[in-house]
Amino acid sequence: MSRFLGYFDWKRTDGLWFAVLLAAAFALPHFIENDYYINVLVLVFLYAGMASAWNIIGGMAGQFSLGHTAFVGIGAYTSTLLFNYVGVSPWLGMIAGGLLSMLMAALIAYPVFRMRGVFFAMATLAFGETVRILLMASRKYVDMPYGLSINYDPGFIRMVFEDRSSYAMLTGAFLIIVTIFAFGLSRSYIGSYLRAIRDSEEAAVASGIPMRKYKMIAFLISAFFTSIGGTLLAQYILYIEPSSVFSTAISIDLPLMALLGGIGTIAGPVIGAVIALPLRDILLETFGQSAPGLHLVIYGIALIVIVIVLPHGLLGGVKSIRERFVSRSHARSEREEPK
Amino acid sequence: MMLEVTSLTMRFGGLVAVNDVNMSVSRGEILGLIGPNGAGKTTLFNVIAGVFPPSAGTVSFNGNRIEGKSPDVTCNLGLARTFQIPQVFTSMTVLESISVGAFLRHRNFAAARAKATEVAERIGLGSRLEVPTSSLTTAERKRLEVARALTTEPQMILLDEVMAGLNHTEVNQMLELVSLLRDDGMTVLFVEHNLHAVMKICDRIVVLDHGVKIADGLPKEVMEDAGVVTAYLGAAVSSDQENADA
Repeated sequence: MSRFLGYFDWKRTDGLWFAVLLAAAFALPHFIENDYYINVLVLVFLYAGMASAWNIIGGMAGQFSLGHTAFVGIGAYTSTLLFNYVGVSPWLGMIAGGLLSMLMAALIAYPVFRMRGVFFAMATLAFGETVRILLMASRKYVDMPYGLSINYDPGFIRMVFEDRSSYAMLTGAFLIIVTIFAFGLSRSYIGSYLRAIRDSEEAAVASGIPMRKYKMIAFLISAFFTSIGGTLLAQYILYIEPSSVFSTAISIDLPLMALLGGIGTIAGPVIGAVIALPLRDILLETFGQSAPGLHLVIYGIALIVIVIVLPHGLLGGVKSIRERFVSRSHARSEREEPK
Repeated sequence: MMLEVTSLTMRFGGLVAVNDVNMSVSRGEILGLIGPNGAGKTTLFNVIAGVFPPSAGTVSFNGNRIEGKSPDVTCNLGLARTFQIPQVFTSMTVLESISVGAFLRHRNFAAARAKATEVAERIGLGSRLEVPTSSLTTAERKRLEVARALTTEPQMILLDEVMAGLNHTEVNQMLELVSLLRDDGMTVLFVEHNLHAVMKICDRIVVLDHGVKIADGLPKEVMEDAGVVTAYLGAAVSSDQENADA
């Protein structure tokens, strides 16, 4: 055990942050009574978890994927099809979907990892679209309705719950597991390797890092957890169709949340989800009636302003303010030093 | 022989950048690879470092054929390199980026950090450990390159123009650093423009011109070689004139 722990760079404050997250994920569902707020909480937990999963390949390893909806969709479809047609519990279907997503990720990794930057993003975007189109085209050959409903029949084994707070606990647990995993990765040599690859592929390879291997590790982990999120989404909404779970909007939302909070950091995607989802909801509530569509315009403007003012996300902004403060006080103390 | 390059040829389309070059570096030796601009030094260097496979010929390191192998494989075998334009990990501190190299042999975090700190102190970056790499000076970035390469615990290190862009004082500091490596028994292959530096530190010099090896020997011999002088100056200088200049 201690040998295992030796692979990580632990800091004293880690336990504190973990306690805060744990308290938030398990206490909030009990304190919030209002159905509307619980709904927001479930979505925030779910999207925060998926954005954190995206962040492993997109932020830490710097491979800006725009195709993660493929994994959300594969997760949602695999568990739902297995449950509806074969009667497999979604708990198992969720793992099956995760493994299938990893397989898909491994298959597309070979061509897409040859590309960098924008080209990688475009290729993954095309991948996400292709999976949706293939699924829709397959209905010509397979007898499958356009949308799939999951019977509302509450039961733990069926992963269907009566009250939203159970869903909040479930998605909260998902968020915690993804966060712990991402955290452990980032504090181990693997996280260091991923950041090295992001910063300079040449220098990373020259430092003895087998680049493809580590990009692949990050991609597989990211695909697995994103896919789990897809299953949870399906179990929460109880209805899926190609355009809802295979949607470019999901592919864009996940990176957006990571960017908003602080890309490549552990807390960033969580903070991003906490801001983005409620903001969109509040805007919809305020302007939805009086001026339909205006909420999206304002949402867009708000995001643009945030990204311009804080190019490294909210966490980056906080850090730079702190650094400015520290360097100023440092300069002052140097000035005051007697010569 | 630690590194052995045999009849190596590298063509880019119709251009022959390196033409049938034989070269070897023995253990503990500091070898300088020089030549005028466009002589093929960097191409030869890149082939040895595994950036691209040669058109013909072989490169072996400690008896292992490494031509065409990717740089991470050669690094793992104990042949590390630096970059002429320092490739720094911009999001990291000095200690973090040196640790990246250390993880190759030490997966345990504390062990990697200890190794990185030890190398940083030896290289003269000991007081800059917590500084973000983006705020380092050019000279410090060059040192960082050397440190990152050294933490992979190589037997041989390839230095790509470590003196380029440094002022006189910094060149001397870098020379001290290379002497330190020599004291450690490190084998060094050095591509360099700065002849003063090469003369001072190298055990042996190989000169390339138009992709062909034109001289190979002790620094003093090479500098007196008529072919080398012609390659650098374009015309033969008689020994009388040379003595008069000196």
